Amino acid sequence: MIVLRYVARVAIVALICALATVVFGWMSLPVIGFVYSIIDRRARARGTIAALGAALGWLGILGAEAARGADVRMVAVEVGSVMQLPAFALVLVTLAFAAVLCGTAAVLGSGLERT
Amino acid sequence: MLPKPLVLALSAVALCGAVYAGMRPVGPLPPLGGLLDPVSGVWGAAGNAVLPRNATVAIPGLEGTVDVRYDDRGVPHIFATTEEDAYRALGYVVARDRLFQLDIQTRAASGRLTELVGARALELDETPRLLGMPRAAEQKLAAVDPNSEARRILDAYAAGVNAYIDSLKPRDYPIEYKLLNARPERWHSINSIHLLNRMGWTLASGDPDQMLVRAAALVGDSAARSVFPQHTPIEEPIQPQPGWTAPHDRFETIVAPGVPNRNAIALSSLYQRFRTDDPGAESQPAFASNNWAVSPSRTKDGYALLAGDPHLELTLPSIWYEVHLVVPGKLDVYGVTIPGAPAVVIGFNRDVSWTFTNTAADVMDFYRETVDDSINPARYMLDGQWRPLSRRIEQYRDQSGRVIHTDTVRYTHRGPMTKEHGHWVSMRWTVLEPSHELQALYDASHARNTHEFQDMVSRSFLAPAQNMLVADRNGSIAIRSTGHFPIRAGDGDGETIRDGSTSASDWRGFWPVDRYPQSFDPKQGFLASANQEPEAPEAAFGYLGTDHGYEVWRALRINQLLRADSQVTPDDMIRWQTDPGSTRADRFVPYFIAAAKTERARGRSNVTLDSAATLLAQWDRTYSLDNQRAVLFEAAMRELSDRTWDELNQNGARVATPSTAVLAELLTQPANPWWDDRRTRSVAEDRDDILAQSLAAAYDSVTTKYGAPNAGGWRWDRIRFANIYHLLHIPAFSALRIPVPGGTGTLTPSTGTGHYGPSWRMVVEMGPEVHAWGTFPGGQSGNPMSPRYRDHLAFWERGKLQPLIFPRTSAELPASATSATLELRPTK
Repeated sequence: MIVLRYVARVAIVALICALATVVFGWMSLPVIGFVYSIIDRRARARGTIAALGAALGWLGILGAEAARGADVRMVAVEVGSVMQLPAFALVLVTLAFAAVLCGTAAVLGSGLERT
Repeated sequence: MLPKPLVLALSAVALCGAVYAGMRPVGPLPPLGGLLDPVSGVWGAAGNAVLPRNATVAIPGLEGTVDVRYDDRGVPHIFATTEEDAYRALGYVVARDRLFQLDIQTRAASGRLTELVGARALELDETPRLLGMPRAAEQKLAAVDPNSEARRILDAYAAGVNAYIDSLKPRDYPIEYKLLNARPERWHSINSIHLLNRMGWTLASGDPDQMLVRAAALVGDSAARSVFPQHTPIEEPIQPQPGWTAPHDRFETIVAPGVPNRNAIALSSLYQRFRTDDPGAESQPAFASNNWAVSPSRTKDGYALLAGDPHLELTLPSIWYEVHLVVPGKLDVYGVTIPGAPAVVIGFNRDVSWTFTNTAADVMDFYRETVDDSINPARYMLDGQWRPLSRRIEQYRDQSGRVIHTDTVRYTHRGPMTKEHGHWVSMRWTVLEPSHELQALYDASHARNTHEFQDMVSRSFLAPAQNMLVADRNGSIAIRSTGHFPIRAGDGDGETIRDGSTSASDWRGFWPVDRYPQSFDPKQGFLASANQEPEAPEAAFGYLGTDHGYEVWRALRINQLLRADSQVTPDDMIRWQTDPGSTRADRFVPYFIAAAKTERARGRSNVTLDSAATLLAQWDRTYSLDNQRAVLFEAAMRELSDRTWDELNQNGARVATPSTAVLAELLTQPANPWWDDRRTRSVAEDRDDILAQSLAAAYDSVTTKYGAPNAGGWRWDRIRFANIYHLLHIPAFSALRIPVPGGTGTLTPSTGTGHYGPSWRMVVEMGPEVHAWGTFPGGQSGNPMSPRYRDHLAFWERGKLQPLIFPRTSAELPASATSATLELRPTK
């Protein structure tokens, strides 16, 4: 049950992150992380939930692009090679960036809320 | 577990760091937020890689609906009701496929790259500005009649480009902008003029003075003029000479190296800024275009045939973009356009097909000026009176608009003036003068026969001078070297820096059109140009250029092929475009082999020389991909050039290299003092000594570098490559180390770096229905993620051309050959 709640929270954050990125762009992620941590006071590990949710949200956008026929793999290969990274690393960097933006904001939010 | 305050502090630092890296560039990286955002960042390039199957867009200014059908090669066929609409749509579709290319090429042409990439491009930007190119573009635009077709089309095209730019959201920007953290800027009509000027810089900036002066500084005037002659010693001119059925060797005794000319030493420093040629190169790589046409009397099907093969810098995306424009009753033209230029540059309509090669005329002269102040001059002397210099302040800005550098460019009545090694030198150059190339290209697309084409184009096309070849549906073929060719004072040649203090040094006018090198329907039944000398000396109206600017071997080869075949087919034309044969090798190989025999007879042979001669004798003198002997010959030619022209070395490096036609001339003079290698003071070498030494040294160097002769390392496809770089030189977006057939002097020459090559191969049969084939090294899309970014490359590599679809109406384009449609509607 606890795991399910945890998964549900991650999924909700992911959905919100994805929608907010489409509408407002990447800068919305810290805001979402911060707001989420204040709203969901009962949850433990809010920073982790926010980080995973943001990464999952962005992964979902990339997946949706791929499902629409976009060659996301080629971008990973080509741009990765421009940045001297293997293709998978560019995906990881992208997801990590989202996770840091959202997760750290959530940690700060939960810390401020306690004080 | 970390203490809570520490966790909070670390989180705050990480968040600040991520936000900072998201908003600001860090090192070479652009802001990560804009880059990695899965919607608007680089990932968005995947979503834009394929054009939507069907799209409808409203754009302002259209008079009617424009139907754009993309065929299965990604070529847009634009069906419009007015010509302005057609060119507005052209601007839109070119921007849709090549926006970044439009932008960066224009910035490069106008000296504004710093605004895109910062101070590191300052030196690149200074060249066009100090040459006066932005000012010339402004003057050219001002000279365009506002009511002319050219001006209306120029403005319609700009509006089309801007309609596309205005429709973009940041997520739609080409990937290069995201990597540079930049955005496209709106298009201005003058940008098209900048681009054409840039082409002028590429094709007509060669000035033969430099090589001659450098050589004179080392070996004296007579010897220098002898190895840098005005006329090429092996003649196969573009304009056929009556009665000639073979090339003519016009060999003279080459004057021995003499005493250095001290004046030339001082003069040679004045040229520093104005030349980009490699003094060690045997020929100029950019000038390697071919075209030829065959009269119906010599074709199998009885229709005129035309082949076009301009060689230019190879880039991804390609310099060319294929397009078909149709306005019923007014325009029906197919061909390639330079992205940014509202014109089909090379192509065909229902009546004529045309193509160009570069004339390599000398259209740039220098003048040593007398000024009132050597540091900050305001006036220059002309005919005993001071005249004011006009000034233009050139400001260079970075990405944020901040001025990072300023130049003051001064102009005499001749053109821009710069200070070179303490002397003020001005320049006159046809590319900087008012001209109407866009009008000429517009007229070309409407021409109905060869005479009309040449007459229309000659009226407006002034620079860069081109050998314009045309064939028509009536079976006529014609060629004319078209452009402004200066009439000079005094001896009439352009090979010296002239005294700027007198107007007697000025140009007296330009050649009359009827004296341009030209030929209409020659008796021989074919015409060919390959950057060789346009006409034989006895036929020339005056000085046009020098041997060093011309190239003879490709012309010899194509004329050889054309003379040998009186039943030419389109397939022959296509095959010849990648013909691996070499008249240069035909000329030199026998001398190498004979020299080895001579050395044997002299008792100076050795195993290396014998092996090399045996291998060279086995060579079929072609540069096919699997050939294993061409490498030896090329190495031998390099050694030969180094050993022969050692008198032209200064501080260990060659400062001027005569053409291989002159080297061939020297082969007929076995005891000429030029053969002597100055490095071996105790021995006076003759021709055969040098040839034998060169061949043996070549064998040693090739075996050292590539292994044993038959071990596979000598294969040509392991040695010569095309290297097609992305416009930003990003390797991942480039196509590198593509094995290509051909070597120096073949019809598809490869010069070693692989940066130049065939940029658009086209063959057209002018029958009752026009049939055409073509390809270029790249694809229609400028998006590196697109499957159309480099989809033509496989054809280009193999020398194959693709059939070009030329429908009269949109209904004639079969659905099976339609990859996408775009409907452009007027905004309400």
